[in-house]
Parts: sequence; structure tokens; C-alpha cells
Amino acid sequence: MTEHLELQTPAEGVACIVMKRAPVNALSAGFLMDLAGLIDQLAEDETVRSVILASPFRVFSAGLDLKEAQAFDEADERAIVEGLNVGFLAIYACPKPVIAAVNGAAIAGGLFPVLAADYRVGVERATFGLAEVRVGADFPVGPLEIARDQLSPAMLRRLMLTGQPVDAETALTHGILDEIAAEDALDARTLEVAKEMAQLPRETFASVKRQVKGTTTARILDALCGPQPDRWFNDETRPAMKRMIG
Amino acid sequence: MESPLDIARDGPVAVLTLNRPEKLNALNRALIAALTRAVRELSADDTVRALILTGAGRAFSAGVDLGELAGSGDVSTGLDWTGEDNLLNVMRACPHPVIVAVNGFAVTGGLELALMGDMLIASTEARFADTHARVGITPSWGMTQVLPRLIGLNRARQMSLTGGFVDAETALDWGLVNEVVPPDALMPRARELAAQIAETDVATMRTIRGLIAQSAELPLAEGLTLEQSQFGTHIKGVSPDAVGAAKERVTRRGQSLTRKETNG
Repeated sequence: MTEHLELQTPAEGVACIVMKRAPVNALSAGFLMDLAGLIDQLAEDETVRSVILASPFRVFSAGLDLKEAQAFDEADERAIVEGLNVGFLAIYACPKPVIAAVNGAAIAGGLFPVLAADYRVGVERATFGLAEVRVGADFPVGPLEIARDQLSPAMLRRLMLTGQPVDAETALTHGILDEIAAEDALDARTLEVAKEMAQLPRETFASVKRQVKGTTTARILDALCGPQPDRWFNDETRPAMKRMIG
Repeated sequence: MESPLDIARDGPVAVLTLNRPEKLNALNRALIAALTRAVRELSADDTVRALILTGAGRAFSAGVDLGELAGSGDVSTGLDWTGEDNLLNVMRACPHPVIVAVNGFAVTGGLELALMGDMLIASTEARFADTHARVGITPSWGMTQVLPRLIGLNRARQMSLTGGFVDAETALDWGLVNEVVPPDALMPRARELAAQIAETDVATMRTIRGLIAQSAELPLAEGLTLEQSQFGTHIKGVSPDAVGAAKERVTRRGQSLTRKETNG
């Protein structure tokens, strides 16, 4: 496996991807492309029937490393946008069940692996937010379309336009989470769901998932196959990032 | 004898270079025939995704070779001007976008040749003129129809009725060319555009190119209806295979953009 992704097999047919980019699973282009590669590889693997996404830290993922991002040049911006688009699409469109074990904050880019997953179990202490507007960056097409598809209009508006996070109870009420588990029971409960979903007829699951998610997938791919913007950040981005990290 | 047309393949991109620099790439019979043949062959080649057309030396093309024309007995039968196989029809039928990189003079027939492309970019050395009226030949490769659509009626009148030269900056201002770059940046920029085209989904790109071409001929409401009907057909046709292929293409591009990085 790569240095920041560990693959485990907690039960027959269940693959668990442990995201290990210490300390907060900050997203980088390389990390996201490796994640996409691993998901695609598991999609091909006959022995794998469902996939868990997990984090060993107290945070699920904090999104971009704002310190790193402030130093991005044009090529870095293009690469991270591509990584965000391709990485989250790989999860979203994976033909096998993907279950997110949300053990802590899932913020900004870090919320999308949750939104892209087919079932989400989270702990009480987890928080959920889309801080992009506060960071001074708008949404690349992939994350934008996934959020539009997965969030209610009210939740989309609240998360995207305030940039402020919501707690696990609110996330549960609004369908960002499917259930809340006690911290010491998260892994066991996630595994239970993953084993159940692994039993679903493989071809039918893939076909139904296409029915449910195919239109958004096609819309994202249409956009990604066209010309891509040269820049992501604008004049406000770096000052905003600086403010965010104090 | 050296070929009047140089053809080079660079992956999915074919570069056609008019190669009679000592004659300012004047279009004689041999060059027109070579160009027609090359475009027809490349049109049938599915491994090609975009063409670049440019000229060797100081000129893109000074137009039809009047010296050769004067030497031939009957001007009207000397060349195939209007038949199915004439250069204009073959260029218009080409399924690959043609990027015209105007490196110098593009005059009269040479300007018409440039206008056959999907988009023109120019070097700062480019100069454009239409001298049909001075020479005494009525255009037949689209000058009176394509030029006004691009730059507007009165600018087209200025060019075609005076025969005066237009420099690169004015051509940019008038919308005749999309971009003007220094001479040594012309081909790199053309290749960059071609590479971007080559990355697109071929079927979708062709649909869009066709819609844009038709937009010039349709009233807006009809054009929008046509676009929506194409969209409906396209969305229905998004098969798992097509999605898989598109996803793979995008993933490969992402990998190519990602630099080596250290953990942490």
C-alpha cells in the first residue's frame, strides 16, 4: 500500500481503507489520486464485496492543508482540483458498497468522502462542515455535484453559504449520517453494515447504484472531459486561508 | 522534388505545413492536391484527434499561385474549384478540428484556406488581406460568406473591397484570430490547443462542434431546441462502458498532473 493509505481485511469480502495522512488526513493531490487508484483496484477485485473508509486519528479528514495550499502555484492548483474531482468521484461511482466510519470532524474537502459513501456511521463528537466559503475557494465541479445530489437544498445552502459546521445529531437529521454509534462501537457497527451490504447481489447492487447515482456521475464526467479552468484560487483565497489558520 | 506539403504526426495530432517557402506557400496545383489528399486521408483516420495547419517560412500562404494559373490555358478547368473533391468541401467534411497557426502572410486564397479552420491563432508577424477584387477573380472558397460572419459585414467590406492589409493586432481585435503570440510561441500554443482537444471525449466533442457550426445558420430558438434534443440523446446514451472509459481518461489525466510529493 502507499505510505498514507493502509488496506485491511477485517472480514471476508470486506476491505477497509485506513486513511493515514497524519495528523488530520489533510487532502493532497497525491493522496487523492492514490485513494482513487485504490478504490478502482478494489472495484476490480473479485474477492472484495464492500469497502469501509476509516481514519485512525481523532479527525476523519480536515480537508486541504491550508498551510500547504497557500504555497500552491498554478500547476499545484490544477493538480489538487483534479485530485478532488477524481478522488471523490471514484468513491461516489464505485460499483461496490462504500461505508464511511466517521470517527471525528469531516470538514470542507474532508466531508466529501462521507457524502460520496453509500452508508455513513458517525460518532457523537464528529462535526460536518463545508468551510470553502470561509477559505475563499469555490467548489470544483465534482464535489459540487456530489453535494448537490446528496444534501437537501436547505442543508446545502446552510453548509455552503455559512461555512459553519453542524454536529452529529443535525447531520443525522439531515441524512448526512445514517446512524450514530458510540465511539468504542464505531468499528464494530461499521463492519456489521459492511458485512450486510457485502451480501447484496453484486451485479444488481452495481446496477441500482448506477440508477441512483448515474446522472450525477455522467454530469461530473461531462464537465471533467471538457476544458478545465487554469486557476482555482482567487485574490481572496490566500488571505482567507491565512485568517483561518490564524 | 521536395513535397509541397509536410505532414507530421505527433500522437493524436497531425501537423500539416505548407512547404513552398520560396513561393510564400502559394497554392499551386500540386500543393492543393497534396493538401486535399492529406485532409481526406486524415479524416478517415480515427487515431487522429486534431489537425494543425501552418506554413513554412515568412508566409502562411500568399494565395493561389497566379504564375502557374497564368501559364495554364484555361483557368476555369485548371483546378477543381467546385466539385465534390474540392479543397473547401474536403476541409468542411473533416471530422477533426483544424487549428490554423498563421505564421505570416495569409492573403486571398491563403486567407480563405485559413478560414477553413475551426480556430485561428496568429503570430505577431501575421498579416491578412483579401486581394480578390484587385486581381480580378471572384472568390470561391468562402471568402464572402465566412469572413463577414467572423468579423462583421463592414470590416469584411473594408478588407475585400480595398485589398488592404490587416495586422495581427487588428485581426485579434476584429475576431479574425483567437490569440496572437510571439512567433516562437505559435506552434507550442497550437500544439497545446490540439492536445486539449485530443483529451476530450470524441463523440461529445463532435456533437458540440456540429452544434456550433449549425448555430451560424439557425435562429436562436431552433438552435436551442436542437441542442436540447442532442443533450437528451446523449444522457440516455451514457452507458456503463462510456462512463468507465471517461472515468479512466480523467483519472489518467489526474495522475499526470500530480507531482511527486512527500508524506505529511
